[in-house]
Amino acid sequence: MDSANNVFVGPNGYFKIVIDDFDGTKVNAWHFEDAEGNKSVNLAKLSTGGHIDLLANIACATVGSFATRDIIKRMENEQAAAGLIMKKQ
Amino acid sequence: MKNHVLGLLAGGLALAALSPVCGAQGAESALCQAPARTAAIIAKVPGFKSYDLDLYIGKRTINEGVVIRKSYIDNGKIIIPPEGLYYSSRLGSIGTMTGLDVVMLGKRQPVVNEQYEYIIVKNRKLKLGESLKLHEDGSRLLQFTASKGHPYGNAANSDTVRIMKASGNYYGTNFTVAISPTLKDFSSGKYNDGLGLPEGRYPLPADETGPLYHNTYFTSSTYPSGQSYFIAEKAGMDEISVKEFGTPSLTSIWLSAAPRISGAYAPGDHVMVGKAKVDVLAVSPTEVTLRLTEESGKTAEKTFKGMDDPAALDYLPSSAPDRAKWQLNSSDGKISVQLAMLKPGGAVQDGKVSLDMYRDIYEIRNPQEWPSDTRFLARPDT
Repeated sequence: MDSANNVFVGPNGYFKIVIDDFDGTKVNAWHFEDAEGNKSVNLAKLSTGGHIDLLANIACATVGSFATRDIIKRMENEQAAAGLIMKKQ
Repeated sequence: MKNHVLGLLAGGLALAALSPVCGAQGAESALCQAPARTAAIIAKVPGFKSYDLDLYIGKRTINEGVVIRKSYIDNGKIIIPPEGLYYSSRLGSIGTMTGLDVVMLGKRQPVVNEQYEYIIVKNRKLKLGESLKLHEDGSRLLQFTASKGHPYGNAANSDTVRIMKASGNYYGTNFTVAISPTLKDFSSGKYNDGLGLPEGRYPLPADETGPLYHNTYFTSSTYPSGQSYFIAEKAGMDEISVKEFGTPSLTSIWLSAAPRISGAYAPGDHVMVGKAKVDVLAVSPTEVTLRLTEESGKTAEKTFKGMDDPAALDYLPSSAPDRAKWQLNSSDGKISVQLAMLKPGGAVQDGKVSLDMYRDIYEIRNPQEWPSDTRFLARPDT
């Protein structure tokens, strides 16, 4: 995929992968859509721009086993980002 | 390899994209690989379906998902390699004749039947991290995943091998074994009657060596797990010698494009299954006779016997011959009438026979090009 060929439509149009901003070396913005028209946020914030690896819908056991691999690190990062960390007064 | 997988069944159905989703012909297949640790995670896709299945022998939930793995940027293109994008609707294995449905792209479809092969490998050596192919296309692997030093508190180590699936997930079983002169191998059978000591609490003093503790470490050189087994010859930290390993593997499933017809029927009842007709000719606690009349007028009668035999359910639903015993199928394989043997209370209750009936049956081999979108390969075992 690239800037010109920027949409991959899944079987039966059941989902779409859309590249919104690609400069040839880095994916700055991309998103996922379902068949009902629900769109994800810009996934480049999560996937660092060097790839478009994706885990969509954690309740699916195939997806969930990957999504929970680094769950402790992710919780630590999320709590740190939200300022929810212990510190000396 | 195609580029995307639609996964279904026996753990779900997967559809995998076959050719690269752009450019890079010759890109290496992503089969059996995991997505990047920095993969974008969408916790919930609102348009994906979820179904709770209350089956004859248990409950299961099916959820849909999409995975992209091993994608990269090369020469101004974003490349998803073959099998790098897949859809999956995995659910825990439970078997057919249980009322099981799978979900394919939002639609529920009854599972009618399934077929397995059995794979045995012998006398192989694997270095830590290495795999051996159980299928020629590399869609199932036996992998030496881990060795642990001193797991039991003495000098011995343990080894673990696992079965890797096309999706990049392992099967649940950890085949963990250990072999060392310092260990007591329960597989030898020597300890099946216990240690030969009376019941009690035994002190383990530092100043003497009793029969326990200082040299008492119990492990096994074999690991049985349902229809699979693993037997090790040697189990080192860096290499494992596989004496023998056996496991079943799905070769085909049969789905129905139409909803299942289920009901309890008395002698004299009939039910239409599409344009075919099923007549219930006789029902007793020990015998049921059915007649199937196909659209062409061709008829087949079958008398089912022994449903009251306590051993009738022993190997259901996994045994193919035991399943076939309770099925009346049309000559073209498009229609299947099945006694609901696994239904709580039995297939025959109150003078009626419970039947599950299917029409418009089609086969999906493992793997096979997905008929309605040939960019994808279906893998009915994810």
